[in-house]
Amino acid sequence: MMNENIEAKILEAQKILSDFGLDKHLQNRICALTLLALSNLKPNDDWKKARKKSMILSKDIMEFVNKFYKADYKPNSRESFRKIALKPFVDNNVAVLNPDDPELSPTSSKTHYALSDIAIEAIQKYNTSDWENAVQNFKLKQSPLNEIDNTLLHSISINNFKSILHDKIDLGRFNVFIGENGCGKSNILEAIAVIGAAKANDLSYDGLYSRGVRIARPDLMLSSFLGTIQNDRIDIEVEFNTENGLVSNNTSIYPENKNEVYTKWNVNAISDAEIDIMPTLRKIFAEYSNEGKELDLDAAINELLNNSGKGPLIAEKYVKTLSEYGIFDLNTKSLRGITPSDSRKTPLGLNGEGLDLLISSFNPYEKDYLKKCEMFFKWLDGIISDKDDKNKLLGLKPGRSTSTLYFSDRFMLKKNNILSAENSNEGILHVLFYLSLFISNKTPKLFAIDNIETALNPRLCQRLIMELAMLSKERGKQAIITTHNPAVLDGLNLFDDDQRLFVVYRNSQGHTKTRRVKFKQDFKDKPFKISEMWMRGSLGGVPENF
Amino acid sequence: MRIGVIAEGHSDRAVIVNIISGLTGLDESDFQPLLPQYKYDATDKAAGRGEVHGGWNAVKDECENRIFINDFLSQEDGDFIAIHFDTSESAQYGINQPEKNLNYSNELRNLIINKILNWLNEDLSHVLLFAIAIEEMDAWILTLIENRNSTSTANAKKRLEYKLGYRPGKLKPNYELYLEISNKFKTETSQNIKKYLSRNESLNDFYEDVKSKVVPFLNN
Repeated sequence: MMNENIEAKILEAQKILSDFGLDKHLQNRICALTLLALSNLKPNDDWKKARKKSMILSKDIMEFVNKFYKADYKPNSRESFRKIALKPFVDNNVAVLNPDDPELSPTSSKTHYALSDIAIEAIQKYNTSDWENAVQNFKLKQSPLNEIDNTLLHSISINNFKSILHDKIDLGRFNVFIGENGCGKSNILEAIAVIGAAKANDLSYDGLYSRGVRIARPDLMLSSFLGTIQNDRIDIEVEFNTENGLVSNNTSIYPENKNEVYTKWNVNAISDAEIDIMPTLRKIFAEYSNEGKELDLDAAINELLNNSGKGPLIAEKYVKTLSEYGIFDLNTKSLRGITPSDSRKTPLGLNGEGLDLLISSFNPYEKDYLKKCEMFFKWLDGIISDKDDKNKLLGLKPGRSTSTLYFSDRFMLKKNNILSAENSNEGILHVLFYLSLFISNKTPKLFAIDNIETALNPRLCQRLIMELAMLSKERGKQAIITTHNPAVLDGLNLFDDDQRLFVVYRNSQGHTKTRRVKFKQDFKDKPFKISEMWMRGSLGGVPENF
Repeated sequence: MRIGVIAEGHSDRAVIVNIISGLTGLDESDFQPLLPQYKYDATDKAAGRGEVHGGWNAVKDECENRIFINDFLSQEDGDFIAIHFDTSESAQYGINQPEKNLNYSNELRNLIINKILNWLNEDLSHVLLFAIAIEEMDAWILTLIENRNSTSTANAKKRLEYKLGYRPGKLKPNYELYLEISNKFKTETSQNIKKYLSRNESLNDFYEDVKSKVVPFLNN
């Protein structure tokens, strides 16, 4: 009976490790026993009795296992425990190294381990109805990067950029832009890329190109309209919605030579975070010189930013958000790993490069999200990241592709059901790319997608948009999307203020303008489909002369 | 703010856009064409069902079914809809022609407005701008060209064709052309606009309708 309880407990510990998303090789017997020891749980104990206790490896952990789980590990198994279980546990935030004395030398005989707070909190819920939530919470907190922050680009005012003479757009979290071909949708996306390049001190041909801007001679990048004198600068104002309220930044950029495509662009910027710099700077220097102190530059900068009332974090945060922005415009060959990377964007290239590497680096929390992708394709059994490219040696891809991404098909013979990214259908690659872009901690927080419908079935578009709108909230992303497919609109809930639809159009002078589509509250029950309204012409955003 | 336009033809919409723009300062892009439009796809067209969904029939049909009207009015900036009718075919729709006296134009306009509200089965008159042209809308354009009352012009289109220097049957109405030939409604001084309005009662009634509904809305 005792032996049965021991085996049952070990199986449960293995299930916990599996549910935590640890790799298969971290669900073995030694790992399970280590988890039980660190939880101080004997074979007959209930999981809610698990408690955190610092334990030294040989003295505490192995003794606990030998005593209560009838094992017979000798002292020379120490290294196995350390390598097989404890180090990966620490790496995966299941356990913490030396919590009682973080300064201990790595070779100290007092080296000890304890379960992490997030692990013990979850483990105590095993075998209860809260287990699923507990696991999700564990995975969320497992990596600090999983935590999201809710700073959003609240508005953008664009002046004198390409076809946009002046336009202000109040953005939501998930924004879809529709309009006739040539109405200026992409110019809106590009204006954000221009300010992103300016913020990253990367306002060069390469800097703009790598963010997805179609570069032309400066006199074509500046607005040019009949009957008006061309202004020689582009002005873009952005406002970020932060916990401290709105933070704005006004940036002017101007080319040194309007007729030279490779010319240098110069920047003038005024932002809320920088606006009080001069008085504060004078005060700080005066204090240092009066007190005869030596100037600590870092301390001075921090003091400066704190005194501006916005704090260094906000300034840094929005600069990072803008500078990482890019316009994704997928190309199936890039997704298949056939076309070499054409953009400097990491981890995902603007045309779809790098999807395989990004997916292979997903943590359990991200993997859980990605698993939902399987519902989009009836035939899909699973997504395989073949990090070592072993499948190539098995002849599973012809070899032109560098992608290590594979899919298994549920309808094909089990021994013969693996398709490489090079051979799979293009729809799944596009869907997987978008999901990864929204799920990943490593992808930009703010980005644009041009023509999201490419290669996708209309019904799939609708469902995908619903999923992406949800993901944008849960993963802290802000997206600006263009489409020509009405089905995309049917995935939007326009009664949710986070999800916004804009019609882009040219006014009678040819200036690009943007209008948000909102519905009156008293029409909430109307049984209309937004896709049909668009097709009928009731929303605008379609050619009117035929 | 946007104004939806339900017109019998694209060229009629152009005239309506110029008149309202001139009065309110709205841009052409603030107008949303709702009707006419192609009702059928290319397959239907190949099967002989390719007619444009326009004219009186389409307007009547839309008023009764309210597809485009509800689409448009359900949007936050969908504030007004201009509905156009030429009275030339009104008899076919059960509208008795009033006596041709001094009030003829006004009486016929009211009869048609009542008919429209009947079809709609709801009084939406506060958001509708009634562009009721006695006989044809071409008569409204004639006010820009000749100094005479165009209300009773027998065949306004033919006269317009003649006055614009087209050979008989060569004036082919389309949106761009009519936008151009009725441009004065948008660009002329209020003094001149008054003159044009005095040359056609139904034009004046439409103008006043817009003035009483849209202008206060814009000023709020």
